[in-house]
Amino acid sequence: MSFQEIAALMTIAVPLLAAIAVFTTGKGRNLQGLIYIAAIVISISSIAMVFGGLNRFTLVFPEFSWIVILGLEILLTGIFLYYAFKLKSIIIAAAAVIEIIFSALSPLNTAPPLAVDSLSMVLILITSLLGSVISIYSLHYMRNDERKREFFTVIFVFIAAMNGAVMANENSWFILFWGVTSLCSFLLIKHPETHEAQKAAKLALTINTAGGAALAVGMYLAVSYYNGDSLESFSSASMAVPAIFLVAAAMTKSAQFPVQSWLPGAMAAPVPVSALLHSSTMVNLGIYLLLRISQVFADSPALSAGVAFIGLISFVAAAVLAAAQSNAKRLLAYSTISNLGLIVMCAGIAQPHALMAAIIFLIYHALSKALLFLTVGSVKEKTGSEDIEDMRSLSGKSSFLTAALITGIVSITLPPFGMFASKWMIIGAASANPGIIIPLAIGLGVTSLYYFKWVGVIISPTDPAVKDKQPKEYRFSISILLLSIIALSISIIPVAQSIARAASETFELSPDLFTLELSGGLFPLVIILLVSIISFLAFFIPPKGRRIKGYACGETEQYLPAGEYYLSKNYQTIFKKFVYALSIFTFILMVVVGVL
Amino acid sequence: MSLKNSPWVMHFDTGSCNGCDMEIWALLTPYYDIERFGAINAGNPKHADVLLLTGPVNKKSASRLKNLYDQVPEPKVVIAVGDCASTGAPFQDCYNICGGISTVIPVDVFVQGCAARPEAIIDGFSKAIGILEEKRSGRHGSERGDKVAGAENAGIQSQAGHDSGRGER
Amino acid sequence: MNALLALIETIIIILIGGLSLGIARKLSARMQRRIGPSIFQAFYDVSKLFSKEPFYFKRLPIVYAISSMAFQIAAIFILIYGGDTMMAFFVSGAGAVYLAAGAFASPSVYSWIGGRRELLAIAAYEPVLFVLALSVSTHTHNIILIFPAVFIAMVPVLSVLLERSPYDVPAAHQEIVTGPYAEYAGPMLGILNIAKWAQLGFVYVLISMLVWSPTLAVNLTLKIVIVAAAVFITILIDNATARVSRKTMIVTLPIITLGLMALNIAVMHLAGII
Repeated sequence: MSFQEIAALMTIAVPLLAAIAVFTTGKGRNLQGLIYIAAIVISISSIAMVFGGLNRFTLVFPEFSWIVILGLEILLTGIFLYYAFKLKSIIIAAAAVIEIIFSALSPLNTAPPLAVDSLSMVLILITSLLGSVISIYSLHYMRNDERKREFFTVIFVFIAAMNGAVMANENSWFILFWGVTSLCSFLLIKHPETHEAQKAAKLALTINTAGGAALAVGMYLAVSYYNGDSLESFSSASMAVPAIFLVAAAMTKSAQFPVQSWLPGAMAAPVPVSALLHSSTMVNLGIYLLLRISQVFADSPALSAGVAFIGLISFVAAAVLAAAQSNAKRLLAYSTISNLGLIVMCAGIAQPHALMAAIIFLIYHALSKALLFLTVGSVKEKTGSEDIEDMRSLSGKSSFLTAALITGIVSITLPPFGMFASKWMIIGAASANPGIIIPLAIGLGVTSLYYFKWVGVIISPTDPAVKDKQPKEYRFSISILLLSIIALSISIIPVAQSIARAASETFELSPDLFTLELSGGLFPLVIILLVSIISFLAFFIPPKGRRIKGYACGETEQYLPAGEYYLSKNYQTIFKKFVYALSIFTFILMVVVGVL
Repeated sequence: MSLKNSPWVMHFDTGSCNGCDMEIWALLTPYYDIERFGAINAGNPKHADVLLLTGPVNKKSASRLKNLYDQVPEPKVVIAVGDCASTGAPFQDCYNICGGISTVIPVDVFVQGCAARPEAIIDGFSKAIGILEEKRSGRHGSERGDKVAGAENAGIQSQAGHDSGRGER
Repeated sequence: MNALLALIETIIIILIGGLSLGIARKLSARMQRRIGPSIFQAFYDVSKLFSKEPFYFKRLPIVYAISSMAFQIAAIFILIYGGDTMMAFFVSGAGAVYLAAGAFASPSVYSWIGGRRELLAIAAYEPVLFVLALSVSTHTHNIILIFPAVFIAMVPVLSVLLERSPYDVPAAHQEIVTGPYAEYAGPMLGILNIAKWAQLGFVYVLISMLVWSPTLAVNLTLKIVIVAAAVFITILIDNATARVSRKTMIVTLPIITLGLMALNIAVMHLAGII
């Protein structure tokens, strides 16, 4: 075994070992040291794996490994059935049974079980590094929790499963890891044990196991009727029928309309869970699946248009709904659905530039969402509320948290940050299809509206400014994310180039298709960077002149109005119904046209 | 040069009967067209160069007037439009009246009349622009106090000549 | 050398943006049979503002004002230098958003409301500019022959940017004492005015890219005529309408503009031209 293969295996094995260690450790005395060590080892092994080179390599296991996998799958089904019985849900039970039947029925195949290529590496890096940072953050955040051992066990199992899922090549391995991530998500949403959390967890489990069943059926069809023994084999329009099942599965995981409803509910979970599972890593699994089978879309116009439009509908509709949220976590949940919709759209378009844009977007989105969630968690601890209206004048209270929130938001929406480069590539790809342009434009407008409405509340001034203690324990995790976002934004060109190389290897397309066409060369980018530096330096200009109060018609008192949320609950429901109808119609149309 | 071409106006009613206010709004109509001087009715002290004030200062509005005056960036001029704004006129001894504008803030130009005619306001306005320019170049500052006092007297004396159409400084 | 030339052109375009504000005021005055201000009024205003006393409340509004201007100027520069049109569009959009952010950071209820209205206006007009920038970047030569709707859609957008009825919702003059600009005074207001000129200049360059001719003189004339026509129609509509509420704006502006463009794209697509 080469050094790189060992490193790759370690990204699965170390979190698993950490999970076992955390679970067996008594009363959490050594929890802190254990988690620090686990986080460091996971990060180092993922980085070491990438330094081994971006070439694809496979991991082969002894023949009998399929029995282990089958055994684990039966165990997983058992757990699902147990919860289905406990929650009295027939759908979960049926989905679990369908999943196990179809994955057991699949004939044995000879594909190597695990294969790592550059796309997997990107996702492993995201999962391992963010997982490490967020577990260190949770150490303090969950300090008063009774069941923090269980919490950390599930978190580490999730990291292992997620790394396994993006490495899995053989179908049954992929289905198993996919199922484990669903289970982890369910357990973590359930963790607060409130009524709301129980309800949200049930919904999440229902939708995700249904997605798992769709995945198993799709894989079974692919193996039995289309000779597709692994994800690699989805490469032509002849695979359209199993591909549709896989698209349905991906939609449940990435929370696209009409099966998005579990993600806003999942915000009942503690903040680190939202940061890790429900915005930056687990939801990427659906997109990963779509990217893996994107060559089917490139071959089949009906599927391509269908997936692109489902992504587009989610992008615009979730953006509009996000503008109506006053709870910061719910706003972030809807914006996650919206941004994932954009990436799904890219995967659906499946042009080389769109694929590259999707990968770049994935990285920046994961980073900035993790940052935003962690910051909202710190703010919640500080002010006791996660409502946007209660964050008023945060800039006067904590400049660090304000800077973190604004950087997170700006990195999703404005230049010079990475999001902007990927957006601009998306547009290059979308101009291929004129029907996409106008909804895309509306979505971009609404996105800046809801984010900057929030920024506005944060930076609204207080007079005099109240300074209070900064949360030191969170500084480490938040600063790391902050710095990495800034570093990635400054180095957008080298990052984009290496992503281009990685994408051309992953999708086995000529590297010429992934060239970065920059009319005017690099100079405009330099200008943008320069302008951003000027804006940053403007902070240090000493303000001159008379200090004066705000205009209030000559009065001395100032009243700031409450926030504006555009859509009432009623209108939100009506709007959602309309979007459900639209997205279901699009999906059915895609199925009908795709199959015919 | 620059101030002369772009005097932005803030109009504030310190308790007038609205007679003078109507005449001020008449300035915006095509007939008088005060915009030809580059003037804008800014409605915001922070953007204004010229404070156009009407009415006697009642006790409620005095602190507001002071506040607004402070929020106008230098250099600035104050025009008291109409007899009430200049002296308090018939309301001078009322229980709730402080008197003319000059009892609260320094006034540069007094325009007489009840109500002041638009021509008179324009005349006062053009005089105010001249003072604004003087203030910017620093020629006006030192002697300002005297001129205000003198002008105040002049305002009282010409109380009867409300339809004379002259701007008085 | 190329960069220097682009810089000079950028400055000229910013000045044209300023000039257009003066021309618009003069034009509006003439339509109302007034004499109106000088056509150089915008320059007088800004030179006056820079000679006035500076005020400050906090650093943030100042930072956002400077960022807004810097980004707007950079947008024109990138466009002129031959950079990507979409990139320039995003940079310009960032400048517009920073204006709203500066308003939020200011200590007044009016600038707060103005900032919110500005964001709504941005959400309403940026999609239109987006489509314009996209059509300019993906097609060449006389786009107006293929996309006449893009030109018509620019009129409501110019109405927002020139602060003219019916869509002058954010600044709204006396109603909310010029909204996002309410708390800026003196030199900072001057900087924001220059940012506005630059934004207008950027939009004019985009509009002028709708027409093209191989001869330099004809090309320039065509470009000036199409921009002037857009401004003239905007002023004409300004004098014939009243300000709408922000709700009406957010509903009607995208429907009119994007609807027309969607119709245009659909017709052209069916006709097989694009």
